[in-house]
Amino acid sequence: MSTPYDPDLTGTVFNIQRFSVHDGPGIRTVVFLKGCSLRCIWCSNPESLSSRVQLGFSPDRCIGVDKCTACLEAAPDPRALKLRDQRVAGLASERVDEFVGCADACPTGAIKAWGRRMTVGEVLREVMADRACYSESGGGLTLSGGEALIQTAFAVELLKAARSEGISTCVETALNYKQDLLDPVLPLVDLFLCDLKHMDPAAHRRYTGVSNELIIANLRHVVASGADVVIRIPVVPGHNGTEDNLRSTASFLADELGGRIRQVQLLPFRKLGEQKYLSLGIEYPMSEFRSPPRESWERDIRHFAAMMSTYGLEVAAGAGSWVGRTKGTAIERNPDRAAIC
Amino acid sequence: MAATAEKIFPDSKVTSLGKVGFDEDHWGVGVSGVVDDPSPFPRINRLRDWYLDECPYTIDAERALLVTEAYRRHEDDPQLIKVARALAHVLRNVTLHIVEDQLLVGDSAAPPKSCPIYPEFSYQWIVKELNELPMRDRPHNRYEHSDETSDALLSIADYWRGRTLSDAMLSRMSPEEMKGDFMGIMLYSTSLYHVAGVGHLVPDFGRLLDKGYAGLRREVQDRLDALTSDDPDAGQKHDFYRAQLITLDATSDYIRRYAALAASKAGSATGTRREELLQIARNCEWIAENPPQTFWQAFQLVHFGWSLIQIESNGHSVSLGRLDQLLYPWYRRDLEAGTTTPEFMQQVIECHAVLNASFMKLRDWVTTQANSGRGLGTTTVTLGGIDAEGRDATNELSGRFLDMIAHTRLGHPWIAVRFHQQTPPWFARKTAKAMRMGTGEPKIFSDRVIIPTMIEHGIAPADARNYVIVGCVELSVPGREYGWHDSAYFSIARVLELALNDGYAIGHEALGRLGPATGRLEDFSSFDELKEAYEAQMAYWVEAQARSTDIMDDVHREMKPLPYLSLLVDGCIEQGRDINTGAAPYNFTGPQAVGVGTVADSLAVIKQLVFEEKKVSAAELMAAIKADWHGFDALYHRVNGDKVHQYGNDDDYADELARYCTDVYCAAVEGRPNPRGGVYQPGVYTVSANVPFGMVQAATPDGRKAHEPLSDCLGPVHTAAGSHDRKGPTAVINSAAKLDQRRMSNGTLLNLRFCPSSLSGAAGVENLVALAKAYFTQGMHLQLNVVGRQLLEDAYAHPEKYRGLMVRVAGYSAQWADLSDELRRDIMSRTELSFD
Repeated sequence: MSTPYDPDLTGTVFNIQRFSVHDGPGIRTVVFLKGCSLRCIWCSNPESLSSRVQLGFSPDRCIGVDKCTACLEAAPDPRALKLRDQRVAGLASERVDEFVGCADACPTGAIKAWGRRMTVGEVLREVMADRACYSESGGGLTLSGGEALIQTAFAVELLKAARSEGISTCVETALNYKQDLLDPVLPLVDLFLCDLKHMDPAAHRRYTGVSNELIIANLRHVVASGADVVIRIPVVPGHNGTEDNLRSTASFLADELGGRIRQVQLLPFRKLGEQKYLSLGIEYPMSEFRSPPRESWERDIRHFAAMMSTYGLEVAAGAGSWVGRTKGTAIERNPDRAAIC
Repeated sequence: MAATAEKIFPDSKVTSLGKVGFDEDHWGVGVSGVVDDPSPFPRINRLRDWYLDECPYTIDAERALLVTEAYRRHEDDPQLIKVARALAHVLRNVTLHIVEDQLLVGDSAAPPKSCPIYPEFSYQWIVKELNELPMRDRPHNRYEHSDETSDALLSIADYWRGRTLSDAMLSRMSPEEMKGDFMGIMLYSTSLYHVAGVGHLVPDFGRLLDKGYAGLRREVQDRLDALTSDDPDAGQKHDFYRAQLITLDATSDYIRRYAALAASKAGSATGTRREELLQIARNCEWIAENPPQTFWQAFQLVHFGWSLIQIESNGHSVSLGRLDQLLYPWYRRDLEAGTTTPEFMQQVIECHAVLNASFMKLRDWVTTQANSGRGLGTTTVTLGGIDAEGRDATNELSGRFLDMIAHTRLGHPWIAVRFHQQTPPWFARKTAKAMRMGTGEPKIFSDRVIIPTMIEHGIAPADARNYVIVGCVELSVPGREYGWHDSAYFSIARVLELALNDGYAIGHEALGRLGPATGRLEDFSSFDELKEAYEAQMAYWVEAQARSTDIMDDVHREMKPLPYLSLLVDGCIEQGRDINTGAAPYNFTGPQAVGVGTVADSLAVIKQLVFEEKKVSAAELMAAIKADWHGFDALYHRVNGDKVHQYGNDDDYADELARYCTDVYCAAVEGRPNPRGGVYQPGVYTVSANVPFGMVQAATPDGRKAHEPLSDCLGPVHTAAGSHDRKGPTAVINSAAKLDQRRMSNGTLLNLRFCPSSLSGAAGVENLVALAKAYFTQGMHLQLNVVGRQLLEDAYAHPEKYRGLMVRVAGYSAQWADLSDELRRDIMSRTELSFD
């Protein structure tokens, strides 16, 4: 299948992760696009939020400017680099773009640039390096973020590029997004992984910064279009991880979306990412949060999964297994193809 | 309920990381052997507990004393007759054992888990250790022994001085021939065959099953009777056949001794055990001469066939070959006749695992520190693959051996699975499920790459299709090849060091120039000049290594003929010649390159930073590695960072240099004639030799500090500053697939370490199969470590808690408790490939 696409269009990518086995069927490469329209307080990827290139500073990785001056030499204005105990600790300048060279020069990763301008062609080349694994496993490209669709034109061209290579496409999205921009994406996606963070609009606004009305309308729209949809819920204890919220979520999915959801995945929240917040100079909103003991929390997640299943939904605890759980034409896998070479 | 590998028990004694089940979906992921009662058969669990908890590791003097007695008594006999009489003397006099619950018998000429001693190969190190650091006082890999045992072993020290193979080799090697070897700077090591037997082959068990020992005896007798005096080699052949008859008569007597022992034990046993012992006696009585009638007898005969090779010589990795093919007719026949059940035959297979695991080899302390592990090298069973006509050969028995891995989890025998285009999905999945348990077994091989490779190297197509795995990695034709597969480990990282340094070894300048004068990095005006130096050093050192190896080959041929082994290798009886003379149809010598990643990343650093970007001067880089990076912190982090090209990231820049550095090695090795009428063939893998080679080498430009391990097998570099592979397993396999593996006909190996969660569930199985399938278009061989980092860290802190924890070292699995500290740290530092 040949779908024309523009290989020269550029976008901002902050990570490309190969051998991803939990973000869609098979072995996949996840392309993380920068920028997000939500500000979930539990977000563990603060580097994904801004659509601009950012610099992260980890002074503990710096070996000291007495031993290494690579960043100072690369800086347009070395005085803008903040030092603490001889180690680089931050940037006193708004002109971040001009200091990206410091990250390129840093040998230890003490200065890290989050976000890189890449063309569709460059991304595709890296994605297609694992072509053999996709064809053996039914895997392919997953776009994630940030919000995967916020760089709309870039996302669309990437999906077309993947289509033209004949590999499967997944998009992980929060769906907080104008509906008319969603339409060109729909025919290019084999499987949507849609976040659904809270059913109550006020609580949704409290935890994510926006109401959920547009999200829910978009979800209805995507499901109505006949697309394959998996719902992902990051379950945060004491926030959205409550019996009430998950019951109303289950009821909405089962009753109003007519059970046309392929699967609901409950992703247990883990307190990660604090270091990254620190490195970016952003306050960690969950710093006061105390994680429940792992065992009781796992037990709760399993309980929620069982409870939601009683609504007739296919519910999985964790992002785990895809085999036998997805049955759409685009992602169905014939188990008998598993013979080696 | 699947086990949770992550779950770490704080208690002092961990025997189980969770409940695992018997059916293949519940074998667990990343739990390795840290489980209780993995077998559905109580007998097997009892034997496993006995093996792990009760039976101590020991040393036994009996074989050494009997061999010494025979050598003394037959001092003047021809060498062939002398070695045959020595074997016969052992077989007729050694103490025999039958373990409670066991269905199979046949010791190693020592009690279970006891090391027999082979003084004829080398003895001075044993004497030295007994005097200076007795094996019972070692910090790990300890072997108990009484004062009587050490006194007995010391009592024969004088006899063996100057009489061993090792002594003869040393007397024939010039200082020039020793300077690069383990006796010098250890650029290469030929120590394995210097101190012990060769092994490394799969005998023709089909011939034994077909004819029985009496049939073989008739064949040899007929050949002897047919000798005529006009045959110029009649004298030599006469000795050879007589030697074979001596060993055959002793073999049948030996097996009948087991029959007698079983019968006598039956006398004091009751119930089912009494019946079993009586049947063991009848089995032995019958197969002492005749071809087997049942599956049980067939497996018993294969074990005798194999164990006598190990009593004759302590060569590593004498392997069992395609047992799913060889034993299938008996398996089928017994099932159809209804004379036995699949469950009983499964117990025979699992009993064999415990018996096989009971064979021990004493290694010297220096080798043990680097190449930990106690087994014989070891015994590999090859499953699946295609048959001689190219059809899928997988059968029910292939799956039964995979069940055995899950049910015993002792790491023995090793299992190799051959994958090909028509491998049935059930078998591919079952293999993946066995692999993800985390014991390191089985390892998987690609028919698609290996068969054409063997054919290109002169193996007939039908033989190539019938290939087997020998020991860790090596490819061989069963019953028709003497491959000397593990002849040497050869550090291409040391070759690069001499190429950077005008033939001097860093830190050993006082020894003078060791290799040819090829200039210094500081003097090279281009990267190509460095390549020329590397190629010149390579040619010189490969030649030096081969000269030493050829001397060893000569000594083995003259001093340690193998009349028993020669019964089971094509061409020997037919020509009246010992296997050591080159009587097998295929003869190779296979030395392995060590340090591919180290060299590739070093070359990349030099090419990129010194010659292209000119960010670092050659003088600065050389000063840095000579100073072990002290005072060069920024450069140290730069070469270990992600701003330089590194092998293992699917980055053509570095991967092409990996290909280059192995191509140069292969070109220097391939086709060189050996003394048995065959040729040298290169392999590229390290097993665990990357650790000792690293220990003796200065820092390298890739960011490795002095004494750190070199890169393992075909894997990427990992140094104290971090792993150089950053893009996960698909990038690693793509990088490895860019090497010209079809030149590496002695074998290659890529180890991948996975976090258990990335292989969990049905999807984990499918993804693992897909990954293997993708690699196997170009790659030969894949092994997995699937034990979580958290578990390994706890096992590092408390090794005593982890009974049964087997980990994949490289080429082989070993009990965690038996690994040296260096090796444990090396395994932990390998990248765990997971992207949850």
